[in-house]
Amino acid sequence: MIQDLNSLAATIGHAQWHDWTRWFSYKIPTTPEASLAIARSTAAIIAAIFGKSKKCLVLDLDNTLWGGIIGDVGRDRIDIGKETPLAEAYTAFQQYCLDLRGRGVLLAVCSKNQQEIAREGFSHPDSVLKLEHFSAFKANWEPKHENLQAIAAELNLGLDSFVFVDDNPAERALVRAQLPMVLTPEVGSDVSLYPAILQATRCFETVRLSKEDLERADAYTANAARASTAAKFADYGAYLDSLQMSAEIELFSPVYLDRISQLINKSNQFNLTTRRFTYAEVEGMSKNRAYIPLYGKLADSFGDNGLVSVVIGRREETVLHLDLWLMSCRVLKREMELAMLDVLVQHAASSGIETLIGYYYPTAKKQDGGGLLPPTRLFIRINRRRGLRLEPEHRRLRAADPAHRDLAKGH
Amino acid sequence: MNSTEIIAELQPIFADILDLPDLRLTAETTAPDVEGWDSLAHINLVGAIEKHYKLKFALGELQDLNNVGDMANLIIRKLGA
Repeated sequence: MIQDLNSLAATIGHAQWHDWTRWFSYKIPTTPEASLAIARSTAAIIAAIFGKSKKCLVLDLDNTLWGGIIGDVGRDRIDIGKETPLAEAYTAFQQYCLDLRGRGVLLAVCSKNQQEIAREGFSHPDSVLKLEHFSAFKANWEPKHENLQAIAAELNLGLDSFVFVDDNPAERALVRAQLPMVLTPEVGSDVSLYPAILQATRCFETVRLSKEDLERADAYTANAARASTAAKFADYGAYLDSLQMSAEIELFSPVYLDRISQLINKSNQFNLTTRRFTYAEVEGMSKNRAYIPLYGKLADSFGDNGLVSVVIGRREETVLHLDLWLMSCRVLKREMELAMLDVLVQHAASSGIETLIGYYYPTAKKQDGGGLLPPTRLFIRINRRRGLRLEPEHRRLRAADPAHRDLAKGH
Repeated sequence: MNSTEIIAELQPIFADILDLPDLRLTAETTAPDVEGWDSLAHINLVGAIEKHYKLKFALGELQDLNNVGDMANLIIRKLGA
């Protein structure tokens, strides 16, 4: 079970959360109000574990789900939609109820109304809730507590799993008196507060994610989606194909210089030389023909990863020194480095370069064992695929990576 | 307000927190005299008193109290300050 203390603290406010006097006196770190919030939250979670969460939300109609008395003003004049602040507030509350339904909470109507007129409200074009969202619908002139009992019988649910929301304090008092097992929160008459008041009761707490929850849980990061996609493919190549990756690899352009400098000065993991350059230096290289400075952006079917790779080649006659080669960790194992290499070689070949020299300086923060393409293997690819001569700094590579022997054989 | 009046006001607070409707407080009452006045109840009592009088006891102010009368005098001092 997870108790989300941060969200509780955020709700109460950090300044109202800690109490140093209580900490030093009793070793209780929180204010009485915060302690109460923690206790209530814990109780709600425990109740949910024991299946005590509420299962059915019973709603009044006039001035609860929409503004105005539908029997008086007619369907077309009730407050719902986006035209006025009040209408928006009712729409938001309807949406809140619909979201609860999405999590498996049943919705029911209990209203003093004529059945046909009451049902008409949900045919209003701006009504978020539609008739089919309700599992029970009682619109008549019987006392509300009797209707609640009828709904319970109809749905075959205990009244202790019911929550009743009505803007009329007299109806709330009646239900509270007649049916104390029904949770009847003191919602008042301001609909804009209803969602927060209901939320604060924590009475619809859930302890596990159902299929419906997952369907709505867009909060999952795109990376989680990518990871689960990867798991579905036996062949990693097929997974990469499915991502429908598209890269933009170009010479530095002014609009990206900020991001490029930022990457250069913070990337550690996939950074072969970890050389840092100031913004002015980066700008200088972008204008200096002695350099081939490339950036790479990568987008895929889950979204745009943005600018994620930087390579800077410095030419000396027919030799190109790879002063910088870095890539953001978020696109590791996507073969982005090979795409960068392709473009680099194109530029190099078209400007008379015969030799690329790569440099790799290991640092404490580089962890090449993590499955990314080891830099030395990258250099081998430079050598084999493009027919350009590769001259890595053997002295450094020997210490860094046993793969250097393969390199040596290549020469 | 004098000490007696404060103690009269404290009585319902103590009765509520300690769940002892018949509790009778005097200036000489101490924690060991009262059933259920343990360390946790003490924390709740302090919190309820702070809330009632809208004041905050400083660290150390509560350490030297010997009985309810001392508490009443402390409240008088803090309300006057």
